[in-house]
Amino acid sequence: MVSREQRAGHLLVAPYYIFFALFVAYPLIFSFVLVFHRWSIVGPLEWVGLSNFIELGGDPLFWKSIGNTLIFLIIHVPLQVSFALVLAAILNSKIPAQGVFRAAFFLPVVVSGVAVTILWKQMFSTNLGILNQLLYEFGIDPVPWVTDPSWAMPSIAMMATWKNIGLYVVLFLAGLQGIPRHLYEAADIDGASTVQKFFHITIPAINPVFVVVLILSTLGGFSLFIEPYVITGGGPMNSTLSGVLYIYRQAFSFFRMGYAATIGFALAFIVMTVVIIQRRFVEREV
Amino acid sequence: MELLKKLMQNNTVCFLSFTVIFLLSCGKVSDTDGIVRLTYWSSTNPYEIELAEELVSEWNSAHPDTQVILQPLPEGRSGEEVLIIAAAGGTAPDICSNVPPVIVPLLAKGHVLVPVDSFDDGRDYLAQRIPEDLLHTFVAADGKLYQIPWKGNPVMVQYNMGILKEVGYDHLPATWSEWAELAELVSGDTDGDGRDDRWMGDINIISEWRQRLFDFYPFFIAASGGQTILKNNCEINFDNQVTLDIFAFFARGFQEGWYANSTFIGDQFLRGHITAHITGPWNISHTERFKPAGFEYAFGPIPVPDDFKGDYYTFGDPKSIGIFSTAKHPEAAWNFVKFLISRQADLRLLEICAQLPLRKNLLPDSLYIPYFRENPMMGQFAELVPYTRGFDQNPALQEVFDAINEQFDAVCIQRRRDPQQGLSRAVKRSANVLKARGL
Repeated sequence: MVSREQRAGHLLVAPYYIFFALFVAYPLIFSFVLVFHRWSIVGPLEWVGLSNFIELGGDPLFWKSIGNTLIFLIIHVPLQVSFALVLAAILNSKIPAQGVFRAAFFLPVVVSGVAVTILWKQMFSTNLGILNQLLYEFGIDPVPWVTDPSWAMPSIAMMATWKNIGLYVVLFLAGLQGIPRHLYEAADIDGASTVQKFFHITIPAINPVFVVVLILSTLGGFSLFIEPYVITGGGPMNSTLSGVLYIYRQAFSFFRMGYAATIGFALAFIVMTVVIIQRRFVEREV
Repeated sequence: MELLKKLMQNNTVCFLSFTVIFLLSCGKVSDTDGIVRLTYWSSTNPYEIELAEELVSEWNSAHPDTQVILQPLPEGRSGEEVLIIAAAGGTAPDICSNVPPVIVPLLAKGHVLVPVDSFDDGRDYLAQRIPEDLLHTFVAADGKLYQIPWKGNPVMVQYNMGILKEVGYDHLPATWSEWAELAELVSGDTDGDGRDDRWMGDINIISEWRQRLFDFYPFFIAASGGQTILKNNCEINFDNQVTLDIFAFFARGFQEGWYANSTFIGDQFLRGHITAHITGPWNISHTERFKPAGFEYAFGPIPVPDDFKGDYYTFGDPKSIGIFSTAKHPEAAWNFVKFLISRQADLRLLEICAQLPLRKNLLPDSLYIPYFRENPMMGQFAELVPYTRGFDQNPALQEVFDAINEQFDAVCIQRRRDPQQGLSRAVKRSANVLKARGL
């Protein structure tokens, strides 16, 4: 017999369950069904068995997109984590106008991604962009920021780092401010240098935050989409075609929902593997 | 607890009421009062909304028993995406006048569109309106016509005549050699700072198949004398010397600095950085509105190879009208469509939207003569209407275009592959795509 109070409780949590069922469980299950089908949104599902997986295995563009995403991560994650940590350490010290700097670093995070990307697209313009104009003033030849296959992904990684770094600065700052002062005082008494204190107190103490930042940064990197979509369309020569952009292209340019779902599951599996490896190597008991 | 209970009861009632209203509002408009109601989506272009409002108002006044409810196409990344999702979700209108022909094969395959052939006078009506050759290009592989070809925007080359005068070039290029000759004259550094600041054309280097509709594709249609990239809607038709020559010609252009390997924001044509660009009649009003003082321009044909003989064809950038199979009153919808594409409505299409109806004898028709007399540049585009080509009727066409786009990028823009290698790769990928889709 369900009591009135229990019934009230069920009703109060029902919106969450409905939301979860409609927007998480149903799409997930439907996507899984799709990987065994061919479907163009209009028209019925056509059973194709494992052929989407077979196609995926031999699809050079899929592997290219995964390779591109990994290149992006290799540049973006260390750059983002290290710069965020350094900036957080600076902002944690006693500097003038601390609040202004904190807000300034966080500002790009809250500005629309598309707006920021359009701005950067203009800045990256090889012939009429402000970056090359600045280089010209110093007598440096124009850089093909997003028009040369070897430059395009590093340029996008640089831009994405600038856009997102504020979020990670805030996380590191929270971690730094949570380190008990007495640990530093004890180290001072023992005669530890600033560098020693940083590596033996600060770094171990913020390890949980470090793991969170690393994982969030990696997940963010795997979902790279807006920047290549707006700036390069995945080019030049597919050098900025990310996994998510490839899913989008298959789903909404070619209307191949089954194949797009298959890429989505493959990408999710790769993300999961990378994150597990990261946690194994980085996570430490504090 | 009592308070909570009351609150929940009230909220439950509110929630249920809201749900019922929401679900009702999502459904089709009821016609239980004997009046047939048709939902009609127009393009979101403000001029087309103005046209649609005028025509719908006129229709509704004259047909009290068949009322049309107008709504611009809902916002989305592209009309294609919106229509396909609406069709899948059962929320498609009865009629839409912004159906890109490139998605018609997909919609037809999903039985989402009513074929014109299902109306007694359907094909005959359109045969009287549209040049036969042109109408044939809209027919699906199964022989049916799932779209009502409505309007087109033939693309031509728009030139900054001030630049041509400056370099002493007194005519518009008609051949590739003439294009190259002009490009050599205009491209380069004009202010002496050692950096290029003016180019012949503005090839969009974004790697997206649609961009090739305004460089490779018009050149292909022109150089091949009106052919498209698939033959009989299913066989590869670009594995030939024409494609090789076009690849080589554009690669030369990027090599010699006629085109900038750069992204641009803003209208660099009006700013004088670009000498010529491929565009449609829609750009006349844009140019008139934003051109700087003293800016002179003219339109010329898409250049063809020097030894080309035959008629000048171009890409028509067509748009069609579709009647959706969810329409409860397809005959009424067809009658409204006939009104939308009537002679008089086509005049308003010209006057309000500056877009060209796909209609026979557009220029000699007495109804349109005054318009073309007042707008001679539109007359240039109108002459091309019978010589336009659109899209092959194949659901995998975007992927075939993407295969070409990928190689255009590698061969022409980046110049990392020779034309023959690029063509072989594009053909191989396209063949795989068509085979894998069973097409």
